[in-house]
Amino acid sequence: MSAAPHQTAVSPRSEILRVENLQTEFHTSAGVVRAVRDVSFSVFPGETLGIVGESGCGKSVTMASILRLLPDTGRVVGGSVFFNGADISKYNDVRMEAIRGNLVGMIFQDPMTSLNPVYSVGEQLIEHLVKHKGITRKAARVKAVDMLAMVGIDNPSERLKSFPHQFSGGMRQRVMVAIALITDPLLLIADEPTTALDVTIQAQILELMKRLKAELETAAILITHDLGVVADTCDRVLVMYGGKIVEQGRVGDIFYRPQHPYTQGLLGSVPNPKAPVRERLVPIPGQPPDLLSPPKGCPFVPRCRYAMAVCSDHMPDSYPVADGHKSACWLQHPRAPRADRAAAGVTR
Amino acid sequence: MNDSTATTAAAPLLEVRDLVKHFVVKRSFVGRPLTTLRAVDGVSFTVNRGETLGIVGESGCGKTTVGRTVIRLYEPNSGSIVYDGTDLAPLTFEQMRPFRRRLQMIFQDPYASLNPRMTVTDIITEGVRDELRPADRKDLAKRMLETVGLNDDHANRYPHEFSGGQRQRIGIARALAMEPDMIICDEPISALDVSIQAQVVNMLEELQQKLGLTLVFIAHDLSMVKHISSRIAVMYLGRIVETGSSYELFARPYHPYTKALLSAMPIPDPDVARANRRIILKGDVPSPTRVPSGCRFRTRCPYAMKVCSEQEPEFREVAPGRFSACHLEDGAPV
Repeated sequence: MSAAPHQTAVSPRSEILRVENLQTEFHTSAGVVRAVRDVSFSVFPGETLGIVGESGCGKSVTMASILRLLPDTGRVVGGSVFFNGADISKYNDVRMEAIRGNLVGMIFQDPMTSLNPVYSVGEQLIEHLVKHKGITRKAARVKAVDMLAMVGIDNPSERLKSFPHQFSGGMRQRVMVAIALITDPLLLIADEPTTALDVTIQAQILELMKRLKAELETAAILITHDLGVVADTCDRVLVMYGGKIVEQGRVGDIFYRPQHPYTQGLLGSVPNPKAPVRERLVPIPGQPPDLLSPPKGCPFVPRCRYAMAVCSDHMPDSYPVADGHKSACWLQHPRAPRADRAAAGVTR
Repeated sequence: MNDSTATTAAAPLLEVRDLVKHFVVKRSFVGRPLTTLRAVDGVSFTVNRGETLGIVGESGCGKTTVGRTVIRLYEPNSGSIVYDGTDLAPLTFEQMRPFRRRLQMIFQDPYASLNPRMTVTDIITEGVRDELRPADRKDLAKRMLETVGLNDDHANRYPHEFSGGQRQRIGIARALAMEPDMIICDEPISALDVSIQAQVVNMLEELQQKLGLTLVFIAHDLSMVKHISSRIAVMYLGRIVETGSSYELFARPYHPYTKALLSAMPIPDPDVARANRRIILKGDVPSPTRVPSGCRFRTRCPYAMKVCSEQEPEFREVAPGRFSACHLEDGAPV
């Protein structure tokens, strides 16, 4: 299946998405939560970018800010978002709607709440196509049947008439994948797409997403807390903590040569089932940061085994470690002392 | 009845035989059962003193129901639960009292399992409320908080003041306050963040060594179960399909379901993950209200044969210490 030509030509090296200094705040009764603080990154054609981090690190809010799907209490207070060459941060709602669900496909964690329970699956697929692509219902129906077959739903023309509750969790997530990809988007954003699924169903959906992404040559952003999912599917990875990107690099950089103490801590916290000997887990001590009153310096200071005086007062820049690999830690400053990792008990 | 001295040290602490727990989910207007959910449908396993038995399986496989039935939170339909020489299944509520103390449980949801209107001290010492004077209860709570790595100034606070990981520590402190022999941990870490999961797992391991606890660790996260367990039982649709030592089960799974489950497990190592050949199972787990005939796994099994729909495979020893329920030739790994 060949991808339909996209409206705007993109040269292979230019980014599909570029986010610059994005800042998002939530106004709550307890005060202002600074959920995303100065986040910048790019997505290139055909690649899968993983965003990992624990709950509250700002990974989902970053995406919601880009797509402007924030709840009423949230507000983007700074930064710009360039999609396919255009600055969409100033777009109004009408123009955003032409992007969301059309040029950007979206998959969310819970397929039950993302699908409308009172319309059949076919109706939702057809309406979606008619709205965004302006084709006839008849043509849309043909495409919907093709798409359901592509995501591995048996007997697709019959299943078009089914309602979301008649599908199992895994099947619903397949329908979500079909809806997300049916408009031939330039970018697919999947926010914890397999978190609610069982491991054998997760394997089905990840396999499906990998296959379709390759066939349709779509770029993707995969937001997850599961390092195993990232290792399996992503080309590049952003690690977020306390509303900031603390480390980014190719998947091998992040898993085999992690530089930021938080990334090292995350990797030390998960057992590797393929490890030949049983390794003791090295957890990160302490609790995640409170973003109501974020620390002045690095958000990881209270939990960091290498914390120095400078860390609590000044946020480090993102220092290049290798080509495309950057870490926002004072240890990577050219004049920083060499951390004795062995003495601090880091095994990986 | 409490004659624990009669058992030898080598006897397992817990021996569950043919445990069955069905739930009637729909009745006719005269009360006759119309739909029965066969949550646990003939499960047998043993847990030895001081070991950790991991129970894994996907949602709806009955792993949580097993845990809850063992401590009689649910009434078993049939089967025996021999705990330290005594069958718990027929005991009355009163007769269960001493055993409830020795068999504690930690729950999945650290938000729902603590009473929001009780202080931490009251939560931890609720089980011994009638036995200890207030001063001793405070003392006990302080000791327990210290054991699970919390401060004594947390003692007078309420659950909402704590994070998920801290609440799970309070849940563990509550279990430990009863000085149990065995703790059934029902998905104790799945609601927690990755970095906090490792904290709780390490603490459980340390406590087990220090106090000689026996653990049953129920979870769907295979890599964590492998990490913490000495033996593992794999459940599918109300039955145990395979058991073995944690190392051997991962190194050489026999049952096709175990193989698929292990191959589907995400591995936090890009090179290994990408080289991994996944067995992708077809379809979903059937509903436990409509269990397939013969082998329950046959509807998704890549090796299903004719016999599989006709005859339920026997749970048999396929290698020393290894049990599997499959019709395949000697259950040999394919």
